[in-house]
Amino acid sequence: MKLEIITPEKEYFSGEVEYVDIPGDQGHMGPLPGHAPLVTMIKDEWDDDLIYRVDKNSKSIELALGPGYVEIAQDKISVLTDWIVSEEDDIDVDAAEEAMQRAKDALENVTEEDGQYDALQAVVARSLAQISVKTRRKNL
Amino acid sequence: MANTRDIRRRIKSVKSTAQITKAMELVASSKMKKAQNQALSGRRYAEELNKILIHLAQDEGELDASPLMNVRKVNRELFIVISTDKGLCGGLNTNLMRLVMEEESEITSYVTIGNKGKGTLARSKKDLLADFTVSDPVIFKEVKAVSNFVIRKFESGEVDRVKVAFTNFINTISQKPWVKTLLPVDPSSITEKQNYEGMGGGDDLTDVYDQVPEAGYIFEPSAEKVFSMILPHYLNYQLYQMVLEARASEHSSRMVAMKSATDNAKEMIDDLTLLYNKVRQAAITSELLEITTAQMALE
Repeated sequence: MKLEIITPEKEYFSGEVEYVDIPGDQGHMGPLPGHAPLVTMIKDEWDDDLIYRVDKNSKSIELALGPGYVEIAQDKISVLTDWIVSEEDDIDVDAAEEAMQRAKDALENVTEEDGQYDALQAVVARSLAQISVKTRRKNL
Repeated sequence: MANTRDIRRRIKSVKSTAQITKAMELVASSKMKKAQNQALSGRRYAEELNKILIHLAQDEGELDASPLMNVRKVNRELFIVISTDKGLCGGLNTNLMRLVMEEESEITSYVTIGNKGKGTLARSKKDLLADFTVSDPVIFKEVKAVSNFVIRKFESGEVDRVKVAFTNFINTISQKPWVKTLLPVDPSSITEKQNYEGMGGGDDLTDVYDQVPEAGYIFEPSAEKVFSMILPHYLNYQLYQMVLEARASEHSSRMVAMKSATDNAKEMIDDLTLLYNKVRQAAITSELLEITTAQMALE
């Protein structure tokens, strides 16, 4: 299977993979060659990650994804997402927790009308993803 | 007539100004390349998004289910003005604001990206709803905050149309102020390829259309749901692309402005050097004259 992971900013990954686990809207799935053409929304809950492995012997890679879509067609999986957090990113859990707390506090005083609202929501979501990616790795 | 010391001082000051403008020119040109590359690296995303929209169109026939496509009577209009944060970029902001003023009517409110536009609009006491800043290089999620803001304004019925004014990057020496309608989304336009002349460039997208496979896609959870969720993504990406265009225009316009400033400074240095030599020569001549006259008087 060919896997492509794309954000508006860059092409994060592109190449052949042996195994993929996608956090689809209706649950996780591991598409195999010959899969019917399909489009699903990514379930961007903080504990749902995309996992892929380039071949049997290599390490599985786990990514937390932002909102987006997955398209499967002609043995090619295209993942479109707003942002990606990987374990390899330089994540400072304390800083992420602090950022999340700050954003949450600020959200208390901000209505949906405010221009800041979405930015703050995004900070919370991203910090959660960062913390989860990092702490899970520790528990493995 | 100015004395030699004054002229020397002026030459020195013009020289150091030329050094600064030269440096700014180089910085601007490298930043422009970066913005262009950034726009290109987002191309794959645009292609894939387009592909999904095409499949949806095949499946659904008419795509008009989303509230973001509601064409309403325009009682209030929102104008997003994408200007620069810093000056020294030639007539870029002036030209943009002129176009904005032409398009303005009594029902217009504004949202700005960039300090310059915000300043101008605030000074002329326009109805400014919000202002955003986007860092350099452009970060997608900062632009997303802006588009989410306007999408919500549109959905709540507070505004009935959203337009964007930005400077379109045509090539390094030519940028043009441009106005595009963002909302309501025009159903006929969404399956078209999303390229602006300048930076999108190339026709690579056509092969996406050729390789569209048979219909019969499965949509999870459902085609309508996917479609209504995909439109905001589509808008986010469009606005992001426009901000990138504006950014590349800013840097190239600054590059050109700084280049002409450097050229002018060089010309000025030449003129001043000529003047300096003349003054120096005149001083020597008059000194010689004095000496000879004095000697002749002695004889």
